[in-house]
Amino acid sequence: MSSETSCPNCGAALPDLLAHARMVNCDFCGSSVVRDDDVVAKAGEAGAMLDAPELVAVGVPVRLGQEGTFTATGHVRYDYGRGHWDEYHGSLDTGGLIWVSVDEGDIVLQRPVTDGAPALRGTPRIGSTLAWGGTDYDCTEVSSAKAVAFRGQLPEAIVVGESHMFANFSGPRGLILSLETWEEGRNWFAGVWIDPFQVERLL
Amino acid sequence: MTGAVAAINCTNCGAGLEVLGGGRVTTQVCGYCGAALDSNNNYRVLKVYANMERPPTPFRLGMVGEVEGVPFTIIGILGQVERYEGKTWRWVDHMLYSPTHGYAWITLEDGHTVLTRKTRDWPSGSFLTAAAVERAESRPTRNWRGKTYTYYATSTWTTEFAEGEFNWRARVGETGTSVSTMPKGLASDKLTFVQRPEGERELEVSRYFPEAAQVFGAEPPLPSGVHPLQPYVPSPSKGFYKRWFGGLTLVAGAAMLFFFTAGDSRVVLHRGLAAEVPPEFTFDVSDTTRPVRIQLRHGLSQAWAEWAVEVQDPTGAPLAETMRGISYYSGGSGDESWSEGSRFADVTFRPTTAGTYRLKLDMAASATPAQAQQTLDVTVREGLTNGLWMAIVAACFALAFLAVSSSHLMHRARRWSGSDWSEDDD
Repeated sequence: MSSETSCPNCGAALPDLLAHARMVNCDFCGSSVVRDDDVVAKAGEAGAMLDAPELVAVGVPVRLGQEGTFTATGHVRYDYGRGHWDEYHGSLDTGGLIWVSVDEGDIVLQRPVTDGAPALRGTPRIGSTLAWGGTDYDCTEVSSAKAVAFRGQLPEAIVVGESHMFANFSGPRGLILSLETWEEGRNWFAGVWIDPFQVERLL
Repeated sequence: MTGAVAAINCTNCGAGLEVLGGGRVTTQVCGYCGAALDSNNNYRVLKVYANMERPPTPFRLGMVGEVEGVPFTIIGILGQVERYEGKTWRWVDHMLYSPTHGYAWITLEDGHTVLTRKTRDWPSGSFLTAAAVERAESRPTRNWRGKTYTYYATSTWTTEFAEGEFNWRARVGETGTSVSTMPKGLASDKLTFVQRPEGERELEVSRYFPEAAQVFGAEPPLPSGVHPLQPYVPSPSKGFYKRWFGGLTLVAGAAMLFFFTAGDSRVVLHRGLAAEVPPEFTFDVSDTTRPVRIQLRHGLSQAWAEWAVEVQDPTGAPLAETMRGISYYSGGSGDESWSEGSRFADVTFRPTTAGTYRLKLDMAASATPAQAQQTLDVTVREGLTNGLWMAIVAACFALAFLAVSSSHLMHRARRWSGSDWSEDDD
């Protein structure tokens, strides 16, 4: 246990925590630190984030097509065996906190579904359909991924090394619904695909 | 994202293979032995496609080029073929990969290069399938990003060559159907609805990409014909030729009018009833370099007549002894009317010498009194000029002017000439 602004592992000063942040990494010792009711505790290691070409980076504003300008404050990398994809959390200049998923040119802007989550019967499988918000979605991907590293500040606790199942449901006009499932529960996210050629770094 | 592996040995033949694609690659086909390897399972051999015939292409695996400022690498090559009603079309698809921008295609077809990318921004309306096209009574359309895309063609293709890496289970013999649509106006892009045999559906956007060979450092292919996506680029000399042929058309037209009307020295020999034609006319001819024309106009209606025409020169030598028939019939009912024949006949001869010529006209003995009571005009005209050749020249210049002026319309027609939609179906 340590103070609110110091790393519980090494005592180094932590960055100023954002209001929504529940997890932050210590740049000094590489620990991942969880904040719970204004108390921070070490939750493990933040993992190794190997350099790779990136369209989005923490602290760099990027224009996401017509959606607005996004600035990431947190970054999680998931491994799926042969490769990885990146999830960025941050804010849009038009307001609101969002997730941006980046996977080999497939870029998705998503927000958590907090009210009226889709009603899914059984386990998702490719080809199954789902109706939500007056739109039909087709399940196009079901797989699992393991968190291998994170940086910055996140609104939820991520356990590096832990795997989860996910399913993507594609709708018309680039709409997408994503389901993430852990032992403790599930989260739904709704969003839209963005053309990578419409993503522009502003710095 | 790509992993750390940069090269492997083919698990079938042992050849060294570069790994150029990203983490979403599932299949790698050895360019030496044709073995399809499972990228997600230690490159185990899935199938061996022996004796594949390599399609002609200046692009090779590993070539890197920038597309809209983003570096892409060629990671896979597919030879595609379509056969329909005895005809065969072939093209080569080259799969591109960028760690940040994903996957794309360069297609080489008849020497033209096209850039294609998948889009998830699907247009309003249902996915356009070949079956939907078959059922349609008019050309199907879809609206996408503010433009209307009109049906162009349906292609059922088969893969006959594969080499390199692909982000799906590519295989020789794979078939699929593509339904393509384009905006009706200027060439811009093509929206293609692709359906693979396993049922996957993709929407692709293509645009003309003539600089592909240059940016990838390949030998530029030689395009033939007009590609459906090829924009119209007017020749720098179009304006000059338009003015040139337009001016020549005007000059030739004016010359044609001059020749048709110049030297019109028409002399009336008789104007009155046919029954009152004198037995002989005389008229003077001074210009012996040009033909002389005698013209009869008999005001017949629902009747015919036959005239014996005899012309003698000043020495009494006969120049013409001939018959000329004149008939004119007409009728009609309601808004429709018709006419047949002509009230005119003429005899043209070349004068032998200047002087007084003689003309004898004799209506056939079978002529009825009614025919004889119709009017008959007899005129003679010397110094005839012939504007026919100048008219042909003017017409040729006019055609050249129209061809130059409408080159953009002809280009558009050639772009759409490959459409398999018959306008009769509209």
